[in-house]
Amino acid sequence: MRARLRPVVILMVIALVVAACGDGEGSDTTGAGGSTTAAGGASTTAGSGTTTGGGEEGPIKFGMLIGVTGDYSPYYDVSKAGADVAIAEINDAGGVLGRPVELVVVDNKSTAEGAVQGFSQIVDVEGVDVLGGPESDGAIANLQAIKDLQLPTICPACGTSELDQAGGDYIWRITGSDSDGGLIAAQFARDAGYTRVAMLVQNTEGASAPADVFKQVFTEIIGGEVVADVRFDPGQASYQAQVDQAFADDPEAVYIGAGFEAGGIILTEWQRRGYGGSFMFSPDMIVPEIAALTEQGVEIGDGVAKAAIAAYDTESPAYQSYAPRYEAITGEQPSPGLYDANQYDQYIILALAIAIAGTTDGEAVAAVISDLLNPPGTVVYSYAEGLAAIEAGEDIDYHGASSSLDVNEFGNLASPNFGEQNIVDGQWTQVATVELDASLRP
Amino acid sequence: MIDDMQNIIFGLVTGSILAIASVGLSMIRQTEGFINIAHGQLLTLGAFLGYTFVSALDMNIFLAGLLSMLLVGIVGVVLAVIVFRPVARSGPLAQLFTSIGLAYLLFGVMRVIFGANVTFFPTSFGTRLDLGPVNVTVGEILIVVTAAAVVAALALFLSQTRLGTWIRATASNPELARLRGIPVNRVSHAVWFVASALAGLAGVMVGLIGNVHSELGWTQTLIILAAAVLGGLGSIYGVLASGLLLGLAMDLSALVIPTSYRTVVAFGVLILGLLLRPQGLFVSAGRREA
Repeated sequence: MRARLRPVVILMVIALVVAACGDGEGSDTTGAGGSTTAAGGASTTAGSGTTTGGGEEGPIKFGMLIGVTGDYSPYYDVSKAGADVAIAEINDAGGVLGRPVELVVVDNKSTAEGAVQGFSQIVDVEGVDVLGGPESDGAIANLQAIKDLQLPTICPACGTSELDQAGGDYIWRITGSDSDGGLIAAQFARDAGYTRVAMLVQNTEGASAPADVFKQVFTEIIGGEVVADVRFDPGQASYQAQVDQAFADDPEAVYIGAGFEAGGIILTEWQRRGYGGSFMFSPDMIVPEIAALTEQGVEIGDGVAKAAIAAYDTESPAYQSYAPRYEAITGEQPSPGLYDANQYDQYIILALAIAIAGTTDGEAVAAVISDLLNPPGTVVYSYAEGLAAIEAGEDIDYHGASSSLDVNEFGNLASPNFGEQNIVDGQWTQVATVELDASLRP
Repeated sequence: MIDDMQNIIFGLVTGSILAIASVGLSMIRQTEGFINIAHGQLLTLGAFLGYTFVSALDMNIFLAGLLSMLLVGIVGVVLAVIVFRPVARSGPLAQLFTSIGLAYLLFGVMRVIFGANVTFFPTSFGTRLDLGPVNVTVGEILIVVTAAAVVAALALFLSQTRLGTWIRATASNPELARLRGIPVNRVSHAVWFVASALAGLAGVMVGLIGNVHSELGWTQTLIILAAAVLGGLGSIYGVLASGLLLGLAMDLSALVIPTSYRTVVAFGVLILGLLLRPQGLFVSAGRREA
């Protein structure tokens, strides 16, 4: 019996080792460069129920827990650039409470597991005072810890529907919800006159939630038919069988809810086999890698593939001040699909909140965030303007580079702007502003 | 029925790549006595090299694949000499854990050199061909044909050449082979070269049908191990067959259960196979590992 079981035991041991190898890179800390490089600092133990923080002396530490590697890695450089613009603006205005601000970046590997490891590092080792940067999976994975530690946190790019009613105390979301993303995709399908669509959806929370909203709205409210709902696990070398299933009943269009790693493979397989049709993409597909596929012969440009993401308020003075500074770093214009202005806004908000609270104490800082985002108050468009108003004893209402940032009781944007994105000349381009049809809300 | 045939084609493509990726692991296991966990990283290296040759140097895909095989084969020999040979005296367990460390090292080095981003081969490999009720792409045909040609060449090499005979003799009984005067170092170099080159080829194939990224080796290692163990680590032909079997099982399963269980099917087949034939599906009981 022992001999019969030995191969199984050996395989299981090796499997555990390999699995560990695949996930074990989460402690990769990235210095923010220059004066913003991580430098350790005071910390408290996670779960202790006490406020975290970098202490009362030296720089105030702004954490950025973000996917430097993995599915979200294409967002990293531009996200960091947006954050750097904010940090420089804050420090140029004299810092916060007379102290300079330091950006501490930790890689969450674009996974929930990596986010939990990274959260432990950025809180326990780096001792940050406030936190920004997390995407959906990471925000949900650390949601309870954020609340327990009373760590003011802003999600610049997490659309997860689990945050629809979970924030407003220690976590805020300054982009549209995935629920609205799924709804807009259904609206695209309705407006295009589609009656039969298929779905290809990755089995991750960030992809499944908007897909479920899309399916519900398209079938129950619009009255369309989902001819195939194909779910798959990411990380595979090929998705041929899944793509074939999705197109088996000749749908007019296919909704793809996936990260770009799987989505790119699916699209190249779609092109090779010449299935035809159109696509609605989830926001995670709005990355340069997907757009660049058109240069390799994958014919998803010129409206064949549509997606929607939060759109920037380009008329806002905050945007007009931010855009050239961002462009000076990246050489590119701000892109709503990359959430760079949201990354900028989150740190301006956190800095203003600390300035209003007069302390880095998490509970005190969190208590003022919703107020500084909503009227009444003097409308301000930059950290310096806000600081001047605060010092003048005024209430403030910060309007950011990404939007006016008014939030509801759950810390979600009250009126998010969305832009329809098409691939034009190999790049994601906003071709229209999308107004949500409220009658489609489930 | 049409769906069955279409999924058989998908399974053949998946299985062909898996077979090529797994056979090298089996060869190392047979002749060197340990499971090389870094094998998946050699696959990644092949994918990156192939991608670089095609995208940066505008090289023909076939030439790029061949060059990638050669370079990864050479890297395999170098690693054998400078990493694995010095620890060989400490036994297979030391070599196994050395290979884990090496896998991490290769992963890190490749991430520094090639970056962490996901990339796609610029080669379209043509569009689909309709063959009656099913369709297939030129690229898929080439992958299956290439895999078949490689298997045939490997079989000829092992059975018809003196070096191949030495390899089989060393795999069967290393001590006896040494006593009989077989140059075991030369055999070792040959095995490392062939095994690593095949990993490199599999990497190019995976990159062609999917994408290229630094995590590729980690994502493929478990399924490669599954194919190798299912076929019987001591049987090269068994591993080839089990690679095909697993590929077919995964893609045919899509006809009856949701595709999200594709990987579950592969490991379900593995566990069932091991329970029924713990020595491996294609290894006789007399050759069972000690």
